[in-house]
Amino acid sequence: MAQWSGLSCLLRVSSKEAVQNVLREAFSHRNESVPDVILASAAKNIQIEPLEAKELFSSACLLVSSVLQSGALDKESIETLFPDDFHNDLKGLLSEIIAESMCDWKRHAMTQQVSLPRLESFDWRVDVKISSTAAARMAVPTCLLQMKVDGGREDRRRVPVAQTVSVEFSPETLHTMLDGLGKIRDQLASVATK
Amino acid sequence: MALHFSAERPDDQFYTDFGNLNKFEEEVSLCWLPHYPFSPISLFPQPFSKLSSILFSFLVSPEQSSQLLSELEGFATEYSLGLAALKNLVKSILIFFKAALRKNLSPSYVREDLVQLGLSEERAESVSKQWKANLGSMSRVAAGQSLSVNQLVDMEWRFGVTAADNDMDKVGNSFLQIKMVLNKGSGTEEVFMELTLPQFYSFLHEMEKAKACLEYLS
Repeated sequence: MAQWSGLSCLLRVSSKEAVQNVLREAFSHRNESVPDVILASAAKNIQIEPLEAKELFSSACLLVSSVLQSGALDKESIETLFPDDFHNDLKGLLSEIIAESMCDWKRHAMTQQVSLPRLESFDWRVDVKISSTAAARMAVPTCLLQMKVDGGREDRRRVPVAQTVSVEFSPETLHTMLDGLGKIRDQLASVATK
Repeated sequence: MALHFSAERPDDQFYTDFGNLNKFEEEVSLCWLPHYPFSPISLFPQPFSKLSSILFSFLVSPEQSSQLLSELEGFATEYSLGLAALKNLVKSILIFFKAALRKNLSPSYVREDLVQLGLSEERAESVSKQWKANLGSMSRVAAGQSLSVNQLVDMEWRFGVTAADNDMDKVGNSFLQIKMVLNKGSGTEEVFMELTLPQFYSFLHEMEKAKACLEYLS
């Protein structure tokens, strides 16, 4: 099929590493157009024409997206995704390389999913208030929680900006919050046992 | 003798205001005379006691400031007093009470100060009794009114499973989404975040440790 034909120029490539690089770049740019810099450097490494490089990456991106979409993890399942008339040796090589990287790619793709700001880390401390404007002497414990939250992605190429959220809890508020979190834990436990 | 509620001598206006409190009528007419069975039984409210109970109920729940204002208006109308003058008087009294609360003065110190400021012994005694009765609630309110930063007002949560996304047809990840409403001082702010299940369990564990710590300290 025409969409996969771009991969045929890989038959001329001697090193497995070059093919791995191509597939790696194809994964990074699977949802957007491949930058010219990448195309040029690939064309130089594999010694192909720029137009061929463009077709190569177009097919490679399609291949990587299809495999990722299907969720296939091992070489045999990946091979079934290729068209019947595809070159056997090349099919085997590509499937092997992709199978090696599939776990990392899946994990990476999950971090790039759309989501609410993600909790990165959190810290807490307990303070005791001993004096204030309203009362010269008191002993009120309070909990301070600081959470680092991933600020969300505006540009997929940039590292997301972390945000810090600080929250103060009185003993009663913390107790109520823990009641709520306990309910979540019970629900999770009941779903897990089913 | 030095006053307990304030290190410095208050303004003369203070003394005037407390002196004015003595002018409230304190009469109770309770007539049940067996010899005059047809005498009307009249029970006049005690203006001074009524005013002090209005003020104490405000001190115990200070968020009800609109209720205080409407009760003062009613009081002024009932006893034909100027509302502005009454408000100034109440202001001085509340300053005294707030300072006394801040220093956690005992009822006897409160009585001594009131007498020094010009209130009659009898009325000072009745106020100090009410002070003693309400001290616990008022102290709790004062402690609760201390400065707090980004206090949690509300929390909502939901958890679910991601079925698919644009990259993968089958994902199957669980997530927990939390919305926290924080009191920023000048309004509320909503904070949204997402946690994975391991993060949730770790968060729950740490918060239980914090709760144990708070319980130990209170």
